[in-house]
Amino acid sequence: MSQPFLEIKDVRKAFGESVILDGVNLTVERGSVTTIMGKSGIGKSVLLKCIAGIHQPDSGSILIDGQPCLGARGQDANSPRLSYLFQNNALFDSLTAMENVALPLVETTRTRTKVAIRQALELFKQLDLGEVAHKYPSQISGGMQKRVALARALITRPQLILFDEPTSGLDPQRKNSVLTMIADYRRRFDFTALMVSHDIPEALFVSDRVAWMDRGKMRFVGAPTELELARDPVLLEFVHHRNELLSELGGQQGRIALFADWPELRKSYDHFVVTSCATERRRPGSDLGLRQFESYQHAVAALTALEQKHSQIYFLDERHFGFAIGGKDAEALVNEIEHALDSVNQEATSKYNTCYRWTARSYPLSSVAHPASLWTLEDQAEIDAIQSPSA
Amino acid sequence: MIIASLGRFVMGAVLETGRFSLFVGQSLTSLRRLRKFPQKLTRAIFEIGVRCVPIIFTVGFFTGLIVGLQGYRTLVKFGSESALGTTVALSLVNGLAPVLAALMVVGQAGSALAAELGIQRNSEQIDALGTMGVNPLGYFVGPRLVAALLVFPMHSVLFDLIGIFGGYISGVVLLGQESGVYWQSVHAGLYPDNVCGGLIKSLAFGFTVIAICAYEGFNTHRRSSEVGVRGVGQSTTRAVVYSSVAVLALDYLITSAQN
Repeated sequence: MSQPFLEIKDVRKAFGESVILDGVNLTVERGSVTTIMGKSGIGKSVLLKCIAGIHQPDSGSILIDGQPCLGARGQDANSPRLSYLFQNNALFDSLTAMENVALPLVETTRTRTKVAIRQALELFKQLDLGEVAHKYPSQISGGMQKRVALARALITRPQLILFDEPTSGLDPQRKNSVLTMIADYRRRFDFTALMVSHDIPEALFVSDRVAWMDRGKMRFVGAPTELELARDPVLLEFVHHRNELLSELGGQQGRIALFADWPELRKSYDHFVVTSCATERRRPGSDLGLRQFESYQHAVAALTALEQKHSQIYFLDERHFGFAIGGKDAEALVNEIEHALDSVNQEATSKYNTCYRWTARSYPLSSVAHPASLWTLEDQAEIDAIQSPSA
Repeated sequence: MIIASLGRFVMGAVLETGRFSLFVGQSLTSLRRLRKFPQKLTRAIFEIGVRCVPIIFTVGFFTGLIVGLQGYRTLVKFGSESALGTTVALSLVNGLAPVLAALMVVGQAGSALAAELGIQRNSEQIDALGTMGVNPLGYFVGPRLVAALLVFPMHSVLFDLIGIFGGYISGVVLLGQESGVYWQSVHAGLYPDNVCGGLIKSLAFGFTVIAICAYEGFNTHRRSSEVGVRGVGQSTTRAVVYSSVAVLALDYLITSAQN
C-alpha cells in the first residue's frame, strides 16, 4: 500500500476547557480532492489551521509525505509546499490583485520583484484573470476575489492546498464556478486538495473522498458513494439531506417522491428501469465529481427523449437513476434505452481521465414490493456482472 | 478576595509583560530572514516619519509661541527677560520636544498602525502571511521598530528648531525683545548634554510607542473584549492611551536618571 500524502494521527486541540479536536485521524491520497464535512463549529477549520501551522495541536502528529508538518512557517526548500485558501480570501486590500499574487514569491524566494510580477501576470493569463490584475480586491467581485486568492495559493506551485469553505457566501452560480475552478485547476496544476465545505451536493461532485467530522472526531472517511453504506444515525440524516439536494441539483424527483409514488407506479407500469454508471478510474483524483455529474446529466438528457414512453425520472444516487416503463414491448424499450445510453458512454481513450459507462437493467414492478429493494437488486446485479466470465 | 484579585492582576501583568517582551524580541530577530528590508524600512520611515512632519511642525511652532509668551511674562517680573532664549531652548530640547513629538506620532502614526494591524488580524491577512511562510512579526513590526529609532530623534530635533523659532516670534516679533539677545541666550544656555538627553529620550519613546501600538494591533483578537470593528476600536484606544502614559512615565524615569 502506498504511503498517504497527508497523514493526520490522533490530533487533539483544545481552547481552554473546550476540546475541539479529540483524536482526529485522516489520510489523504496524493493528487486527490478530500472534503471534510460536518456541522458548524465542530473544528473543521481548526483542523486545517493545525495543518497550516496557524494553530499548534496539543498532541498527535501531522505528516506530509512522511515528514512532520511544521506548517507553512517551518517550510524550507526541500519540504512539500502548502497553501491555504481562507474563507474570506484574506487578500491584502492595500495591494493590487497582481501584487497579492506575486507576494509569496517576493517574500519567500530570491525572485526579484519584477520577475515575480511577470510570473504573476503569466498565471493571470493562464487563469483568465488578466482584466483584474491592476485592480484592488475591493474593486472586484467576490467570485473574482476567490480566483485571485486561488492564484496566490498556486503561484508557489504547492503540493497541498487547504481550502477553508471556498464557496461560503457565494450565490449558487458562483459556487458551482468556484468548485469547477478547483476541480479544473487541480487537474492542471496537479496538487492535492483538502477542503472544508458545507455545500453538500456541490462539494461532493468534486471530491474523491469525503470525511464526516462530528464531536471532534472523524465519524466517516470514504468515497462519496460509500456514504450510502454508513450506519451512523447522524450520518444517515446527512446522507438523506444530501440525496435530496443532489436530486434537486440534477433536476429529478428525489427518493422521497419515488417512495411516495411507488404504489401508483406499480399500478400504472410493468417494469422499473434502473440506469447505473460504472466508473473506471485511471489515477487517484482523476476528475471524479464534476465530470461524473456531467455524464449523469448527459445520460438523463439522452433518456428524456424517450419521455413519452416512461414515467418521470427519479434520482437514486449520483450513479443511479430510474423510471418506470409499461406495455408489452418493455424488452424492446430496454434495448432502445441501452442504445440511447451508448451515445453518452465514453471510450477509455484517455490515459488519465476517468471514464463512465451507463447501463440499464429492468425489474418487474410486480416483484418489487418496496423501492428500497432496488438497491439490493442493483448491488447483486453489479456483483453478478463482475463475477461473470464475460466481465 | 482582594488578595486573590490582586494576585490575578499581578500574574496577568507579569504574563503580559513577558508576551510583550517576546513580541519585541521576535520582531527584531525575525528581521534576519526578512527579504527586501530596505524597501520595507523606507516605507515605514515614510509612514512614521514623513507623514508626521506637518503635525510636528504645527505643534512645535505653537509650543514655542506659548513657551516664549509665558516665559517672557514670568521672566520680566524678575527682570530676567534676557534669559528667554535659554528658557525656551531648555524647555524644548530636553523636555517638551521629545514628549510632545512622541505624543503627536502616537496620535498620527501609532493609532493608524494599531488600527491597520487590528484590521489585518481580523481579516486573517496576518494569518495568510504566516501560511505563505513569511513571519508576520518581521514583515509588519520589525521594520517599523527600526524606522522609529531612526525617525523619532529627527522629529525631536525638528520640534526643537521650530519651537525655538516660535519662541523667537513670540519674544522678539510680538513682545519686542532684541533679536540678538534672544539668539545669544539660546546659544549660551544650550549644551551638548541637553541635546543628547533629548535624543536619548526620543529614542526610548519611539521604540516604546511603536512597540506598544504594534503589540495592541497585532493582538487585537486576544486583547479585546469585543470582536470585529469594535475590537479594533478598543485596541486602537488602548494603543494610544498606553503609549501616551508610557511616554510620560519614561520621561520621568529618564529625566530622574539624567539628573
